[in-house]
Amino acid sequence: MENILKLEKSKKISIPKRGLKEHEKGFLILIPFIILIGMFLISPFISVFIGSFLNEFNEITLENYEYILKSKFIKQSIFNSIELAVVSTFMGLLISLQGAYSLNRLKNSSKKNILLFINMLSNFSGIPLAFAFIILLGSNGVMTILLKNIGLIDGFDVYSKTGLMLMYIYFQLPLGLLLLYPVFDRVDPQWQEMVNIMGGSTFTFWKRVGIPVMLKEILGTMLIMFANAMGAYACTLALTNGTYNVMTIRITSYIAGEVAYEPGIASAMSIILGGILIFVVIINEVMLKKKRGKYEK
Amino acid sequence: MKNKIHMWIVTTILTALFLPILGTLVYSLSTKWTNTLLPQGLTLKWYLEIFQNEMFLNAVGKSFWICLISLFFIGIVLVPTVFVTTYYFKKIEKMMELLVLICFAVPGAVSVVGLIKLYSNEPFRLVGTTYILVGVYFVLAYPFVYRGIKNSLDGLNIKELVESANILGASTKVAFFKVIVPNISKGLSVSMLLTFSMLFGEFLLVNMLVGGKFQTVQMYINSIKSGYSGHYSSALVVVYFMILLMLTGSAFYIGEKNNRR
Repeated sequence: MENILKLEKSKKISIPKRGLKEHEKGFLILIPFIILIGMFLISPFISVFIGSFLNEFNEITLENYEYILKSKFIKQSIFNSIELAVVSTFMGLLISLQGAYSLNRLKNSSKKNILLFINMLSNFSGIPLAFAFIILLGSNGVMTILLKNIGLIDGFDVYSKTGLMLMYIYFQLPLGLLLLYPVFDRVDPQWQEMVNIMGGSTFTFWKRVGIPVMLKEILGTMLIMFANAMGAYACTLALTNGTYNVMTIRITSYIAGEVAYEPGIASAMSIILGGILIFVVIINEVMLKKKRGKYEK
Repeated sequence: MKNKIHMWIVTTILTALFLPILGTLVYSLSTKWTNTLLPQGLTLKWYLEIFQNEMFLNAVGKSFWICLISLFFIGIVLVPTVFVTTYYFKKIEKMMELLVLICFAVPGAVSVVGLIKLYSNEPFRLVGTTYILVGVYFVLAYPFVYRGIKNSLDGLNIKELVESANILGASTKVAFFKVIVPNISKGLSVSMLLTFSMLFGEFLLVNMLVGGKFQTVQMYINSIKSGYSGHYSSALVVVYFMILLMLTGSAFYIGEKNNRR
């Protein structure tokens, strides 16, 4: 190892001029990337930020935020979005933790095929997903008719909050399974045996060893699932025809101009949506630090 | 005994996940199915109708076309970029990771607001054209393709590879094209295929930024809400799922081959 380091150092000394030139050339290669990211990621975001403080006469103001604070309709959309995101993340996480664990315990040959299917399902989203839900659970849906005929249910309203929640949990599952499946590699099965030998129960093992070891990835997965649900648009729109009040549908309705063209309010709502996500990222980090400190002591 | 429980859990979850698709499949194959326990007859009529529908075929073509162009762009811009940052600029690499997080965290609805404000007017009138899709798809695909390229590059010792090529008389450019690119091509194609199936399902950006003029598959499925029978739309969903199956399946196949080597 040391020899290699020495070799590298000596090389750097022997060809300093060429290295500099290549560095400059290398930077030229980055330009298209910087332009694209600047044009389609950074500047739209800056424009939204600035736009949220402008009124229709381009004057700096807090009117947009004030309007949001006063509007019950918009506050409802924020509440609905958060509710859907929190519940679906939590449910999705619970199911996919158990699912990923069980998947890890299966034989190798079947694992790969199952992962392939889950991967495919993770892209089954948006409009087709909403259609499939309507066909399965709509008032004349396959499942509804079957269960009705058996006499288990009286009918099911897929266009309600319950239906929407089911669909959200559905699209969180493949994501959770894919992200959590590799994490269980970090937990050695022998550790559990050790805990059991020392008199600890399986529950103690997961509480004291298993979950803490995987905590970073679990929290990260939660974050991605939460962002995924907060940003959902196409499937919500298609299932409820835009009548269920969530943030993404509200934001787009203010710029699509079907009812009202209010770019200022759309921008301010976008900043709030972004703010919620950043807030969750920060909580994530704080929780991680706290836990880390606790277990390092 | 324990293994059996795990088998049951996985089977239950998978069944639940496949239920909407299976239900849709059965419904798309039935002639009529109202208020009876089982469908009244089976038919392939709806599938024939789909494949004779020019609007649908057009939409599939357009979806493939725009995804291919975008991915081509992403490939030729991102591969050299990631290589250069890994090879020369370790500091910029951290920025790239941060951008991945930002791309994940900023929902489409947010960037759409900014994009419409910036690019609806001169000098950059991009809203309503397909050019804007190439740009936004670049941002959308960036986190996934970046990870794919980065993982493949980390698997190689690029510093040593390029330096040995240099000693043998090849320039860094030649080393990049003749040594690095062939070595990461398989990993790259896997992440590209998976990204392709993600872009293929994009709706919000197309709908808001280009509108009805450019009908992709999701736009088409959305447009047939009324006027068509439920059997027809469910056959459509099944066909859509089959396309996903093909894309993801080939990605897996390539990945497997890669691992075996």
